[in-house]
Amino acid sequence: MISFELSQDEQSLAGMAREFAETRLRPVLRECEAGRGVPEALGKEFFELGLATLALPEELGGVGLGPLSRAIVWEELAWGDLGAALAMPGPGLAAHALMVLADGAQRAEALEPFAGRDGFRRRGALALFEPGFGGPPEFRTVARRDGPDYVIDGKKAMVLNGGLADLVVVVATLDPEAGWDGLAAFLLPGDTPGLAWGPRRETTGLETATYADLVLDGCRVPAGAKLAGEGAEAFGRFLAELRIEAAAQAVGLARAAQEHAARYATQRKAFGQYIAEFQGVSFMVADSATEVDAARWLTWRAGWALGLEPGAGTGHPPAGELAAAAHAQALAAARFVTDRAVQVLGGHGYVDDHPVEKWMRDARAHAVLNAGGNPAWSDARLADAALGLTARPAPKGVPA
Amino acid sequence: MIDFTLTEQQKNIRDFLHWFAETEIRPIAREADRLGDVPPGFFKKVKAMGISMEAIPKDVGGEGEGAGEVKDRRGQRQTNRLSVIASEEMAWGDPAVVITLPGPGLGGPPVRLIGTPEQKERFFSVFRAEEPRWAAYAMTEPEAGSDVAGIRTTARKEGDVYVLNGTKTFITNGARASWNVVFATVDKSLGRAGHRAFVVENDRPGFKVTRIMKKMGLRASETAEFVLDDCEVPADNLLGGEEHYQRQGKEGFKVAMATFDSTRPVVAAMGVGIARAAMEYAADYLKQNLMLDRPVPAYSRIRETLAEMKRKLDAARLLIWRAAWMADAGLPNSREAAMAKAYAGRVATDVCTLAVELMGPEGASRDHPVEKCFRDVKVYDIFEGTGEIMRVIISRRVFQALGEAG
Repeated sequence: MISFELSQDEQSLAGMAREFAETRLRPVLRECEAGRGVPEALGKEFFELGLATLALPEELGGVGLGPLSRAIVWEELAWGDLGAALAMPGPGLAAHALMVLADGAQRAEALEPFAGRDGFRRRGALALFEPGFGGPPEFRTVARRDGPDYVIDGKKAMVLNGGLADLVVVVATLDPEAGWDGLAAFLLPGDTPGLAWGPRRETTGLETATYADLVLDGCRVPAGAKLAGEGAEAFGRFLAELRIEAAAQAVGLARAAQEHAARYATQRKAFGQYIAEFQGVSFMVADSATEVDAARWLTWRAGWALGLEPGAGTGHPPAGELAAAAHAQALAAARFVTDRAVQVLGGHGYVDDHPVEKWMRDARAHAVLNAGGNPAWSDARLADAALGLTARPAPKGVPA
Repeated sequence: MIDFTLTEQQKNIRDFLHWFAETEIRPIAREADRLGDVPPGFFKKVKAMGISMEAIPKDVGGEGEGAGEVKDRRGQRQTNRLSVIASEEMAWGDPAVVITLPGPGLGGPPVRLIGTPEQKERFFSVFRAEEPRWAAYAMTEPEAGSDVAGIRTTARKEGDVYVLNGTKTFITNGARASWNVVFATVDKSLGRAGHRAFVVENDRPGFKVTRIMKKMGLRASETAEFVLDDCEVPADNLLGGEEHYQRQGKEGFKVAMATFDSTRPVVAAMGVGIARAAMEYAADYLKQNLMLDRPVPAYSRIRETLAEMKRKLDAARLLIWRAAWMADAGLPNSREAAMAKAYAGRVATDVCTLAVELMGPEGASRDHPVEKCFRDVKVYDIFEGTGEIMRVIISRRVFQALGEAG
């Protein structure tokens, strides 16, 4: 039965996240940006509220939320400040790899340090994308079996928490010719020999978060470091998780800008009236509000579908396709809405008296730095669906 | 709980209507467009099957009469959700044929919303006839479209009748209708508080259809203009009766306007149905064709365009479902209904335009249906409130909500 009503649990989760976003993230948004990180006390609070471990099961100290509930929480956090929320301590994007690809023992072992006394100082990272334009099936980071070990060689680009991470999940191919089917992920301690971080990369937005490139040069790991899940199906699900989270973040970012611009329009006067009364302005506000909602419902639908038992027969396309739609749409919406917000504020939107210029940069950066990948890849996946090609193997270079 | 699953009933109705659209509607669509009318034999068949714009056949879970409400197993209304699912599917077949289906059409909701029990019985009983029957909704005038507060048709009370004078235009099924819901003013100086809704039977003296309009699209659908020239209707035809307006004052008219909050998502859903048809056709066509010796879909620009079309239609559908869900739950949904209509109207028009473009010169040919989708869909960004009026409504509600939040 079609329903858009949040459950009691989801309402209280959203309320908790919104309160944190409003009282902790918003007031320090510029300080965090200038400081290129979050204060340790803020990180500790985030961690202790469970916001860093939303996806992890309760027995491993997590909150055990499904993709839909996490999307609801992430929209609120991103509404507060996406850069800061991404810069927070915790297993971060590695958690998704541990949930989707690792087996129970690997997961427990990797997460144990986060449950310790200084767990709130630890960070995880996901080294997924590579320099150049290739998607996962074209990855050139190769893991080669050598006796009891794997040896990994290659380069990864713009890794969130690069240089700060205590554990890194590296996605590599076991067979460069095998495309999606060759993919595997490896869990590496941050101090593994042969693993070298480049300097912190300066970015156009999301500057509170840290991005760095990674070089893997003869990086030797025991065979047990390879996470259990591999191949097209596992990585399709993994990417769907990443895309839904990135989409929810984009929705939160867009909503922040939309609300700010609408409020400004009701307070600023020109030619003797509030600018909200000019249709040139009010239509931008209307379009922005509509784009935010449209992106949110696509995101929720994808999260809802991914959270169901496989084969649940939703009557909708597969969750991976829904995640691609949400991802492409939400990232486009964030770029559009933040741009309109700057436009509504005019010159005031371009300077740091208001956060909209930051949000516009954040949205631009998010669309290319997010872990779900380039939205164009999501659109390629959707094109296959529109053409009725989904049943066939994805063409080379087009992620599932 | 958040849920996007269709119920068994909704699935059955969707599948049934998809079959109906494919096997009964599509085969006559092109000819109906050329003739500017729906072949009369079609209505008899439809009547026998028990299908009208709002009435869903009983054997697939509906009520069959159009005046009732469809409820789910827990007793919650689901009329609106069912309507948007049904409309998308039928418009995928052909929108002009669909809006010409017999039944009360847009005339139904005002009677249902504010009509007295006696009026509901009197006006809906028309549809029990063997022959197909229609009703219509007459708001727009040559000088007042979106600005409904500016209507000039007057209603003057004389004893126990009202005398109506004015011109109404852009009335879907207005000439073939047994009755029209006509909006008029009893006193222009009162503004909206002076507005009244009357049911005017088409055989009243002084009711004269003056023009059937020729349109860019939806050609098989009748769009009429009529004049009310000292047209007398009994005072009993004032919808809701005098008491309704005394009780509600200015609100009386607002209730009539509330019609739009349930019809806009339905209209938006039809836009999505048309665009989906165009997109599917264009995609199938492209798959079978080569351009510079490569299959057309091998070009990334083509793929990108198709993907954007697809996800925007999905987004539009979810905005529509959201508005319909709110209406079923009894929540105020003016903002959401306007969002659904604004977004779907724009996106559906864009998608059909792109479908023509993707097919190249063939896209403009009448040998393919996409040129017709392109012509048909444009009005979905215009009628039931233009995209611009939708944006006025949305922004007003957004600003209002900020005021309420302090």
